Amino acid sequence: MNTNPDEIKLALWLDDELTGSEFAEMEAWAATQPDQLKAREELREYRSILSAHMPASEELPYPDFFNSRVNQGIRDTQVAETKPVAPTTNPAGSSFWKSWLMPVAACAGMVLAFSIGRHGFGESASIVSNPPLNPSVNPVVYTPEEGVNAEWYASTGADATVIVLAGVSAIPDSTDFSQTVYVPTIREADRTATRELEGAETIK
Amino acid sequence: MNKDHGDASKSEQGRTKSSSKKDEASGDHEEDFRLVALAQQGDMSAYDELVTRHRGKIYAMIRNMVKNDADAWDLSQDVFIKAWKALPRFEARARFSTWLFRISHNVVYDWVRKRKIESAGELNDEIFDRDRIDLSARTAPAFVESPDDALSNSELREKISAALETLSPEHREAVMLKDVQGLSYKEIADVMECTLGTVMSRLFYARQKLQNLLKNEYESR
Amino acid sequence: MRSIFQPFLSILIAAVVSLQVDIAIAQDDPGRAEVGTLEVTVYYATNGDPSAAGDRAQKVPDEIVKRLGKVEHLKFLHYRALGAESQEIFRTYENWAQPLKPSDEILVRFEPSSKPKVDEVSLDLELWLSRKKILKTNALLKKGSPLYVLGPEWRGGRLIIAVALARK
Repeated sequence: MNTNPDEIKLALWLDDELTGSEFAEMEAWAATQPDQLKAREELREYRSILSAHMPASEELPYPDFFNSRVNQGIRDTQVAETKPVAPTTNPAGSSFWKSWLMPVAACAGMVLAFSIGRHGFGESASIVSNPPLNPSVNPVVYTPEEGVNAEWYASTGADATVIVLAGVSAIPDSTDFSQTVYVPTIREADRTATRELEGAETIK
Repeated sequence: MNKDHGDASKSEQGRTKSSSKKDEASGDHEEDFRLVALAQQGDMSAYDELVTRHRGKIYAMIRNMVKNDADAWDLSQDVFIKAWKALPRFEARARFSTWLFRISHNVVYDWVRKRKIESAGELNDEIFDRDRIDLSARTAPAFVESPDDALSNSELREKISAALETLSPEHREAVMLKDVQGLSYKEIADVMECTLGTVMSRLFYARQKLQNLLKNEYESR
Repeated sequence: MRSIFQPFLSILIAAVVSLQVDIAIAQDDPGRAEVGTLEVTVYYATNGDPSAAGDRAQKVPDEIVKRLGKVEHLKFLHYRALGAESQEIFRTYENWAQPLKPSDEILVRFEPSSKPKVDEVSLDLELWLSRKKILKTNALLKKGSPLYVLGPEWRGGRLIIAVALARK
């Protein structure tokens, strides 16, 4: 369907949004349209009443505290985004000693992290058959519901992170998922699986 | 003829008022851009100044959308934290305040969606009852009605607020952005990520409701 | 009193129906930029009769079966796919995945908790079951390395929620 710009122009004029030649053009036309002039005045009155009773700006409570909370939030964000720098090769600046020491340090770090990781799993330590994939990142796992617990571990065999929930209420058997909009078929899932496995090989 | 002349001069007055408001506003925008440029260089005091300049508008807007002071306070913080993160990508193609309103729109949208999910499950009225908010909690300052609040808490304002509450969030937001915050149709379309036509129809519907309410008010002027 | 909006009415009805006006290109909210895609899949795992999952449930490819079988807690005799959904990861906003849509029995809320990298993203992740927040975690997701959550019991089996970064 086609747009009639005059209709839009009229709406903009009624709302005092026109300027320049467009405004002049509409003003000239409106001079012969007392109804439109009246409508514009009434719209201005309505806006003026509304803005008088609904202020565009309100001083919020504890404004200085607000600003300091914003600053704190920004700092928290910056801390979260600062991660330990992973060791990288630096051919330009590497020395013989650096190139020898770094792999040794990396191995020592992995051994240390493995023993820390095992200690941290408690009862489930026996479940972990492999060292954590990424020892520098221990995910925080929190379960707000009373009676629900969660334990996590990394599975190198499956190249995945696993979280085991315990104490969660069962979904009633009567709950039906037969209306599910999208269920991946074997063909679609195959493509996904292939991508995932390719990714796993790359990481290894 | 006189009527026409009178109307024409009235319209000129309207334009003059509108123009001088725009001049003042454009000076504000220049200052905003200057502060943004400094903040983009990492000047936190410049950003703090931007927060001070705009927090009132953002808070007023969000408060009318979520109807809960504490949530509005928290969500307003979120807006400025998100704006800081996004600041490196802000270019002076639009007003800084309009950009903030766009972020506010997204923040409120996420909040409304989350609330729908939460309230569909456990109906925990305590969460939403202001009197039950833990006042010792870090994020919940104690609210006491200030004298200014009492003054502005007129019957008409209550009526307007009540009428706004009957509108859907989209209609409410459109009328707040246009008739309270004074954004243009194009700016509103950008903030709400919809077409100009959608803005116009939402405004039309919302204004009709409010117009019925205000009928007596401006008939007496 | 005559409505001030009567002149508007016919104009705006036509405008709403026929309007095709390009909006001015103005400043975007960079926080809404997409930095990746999250795939959330729900599997039904059981040592009993897999048909309990219903006719709509689909068989799971061998590769995924083998993968799940390598994890002691996720090892079952039978698996079925119940549903899945992919959703964009926004730079600074949260998003939700509803893999069993239209059911909201299982929901996953997520948002980046730090700057995403090419093949990995750190997410604040929440798992909601029966409209209650059950689990909150800060998962570091890498492409090819999913997060599996052993979830609630259902019809004699367990639900496994798989969360993975999609390859583009």
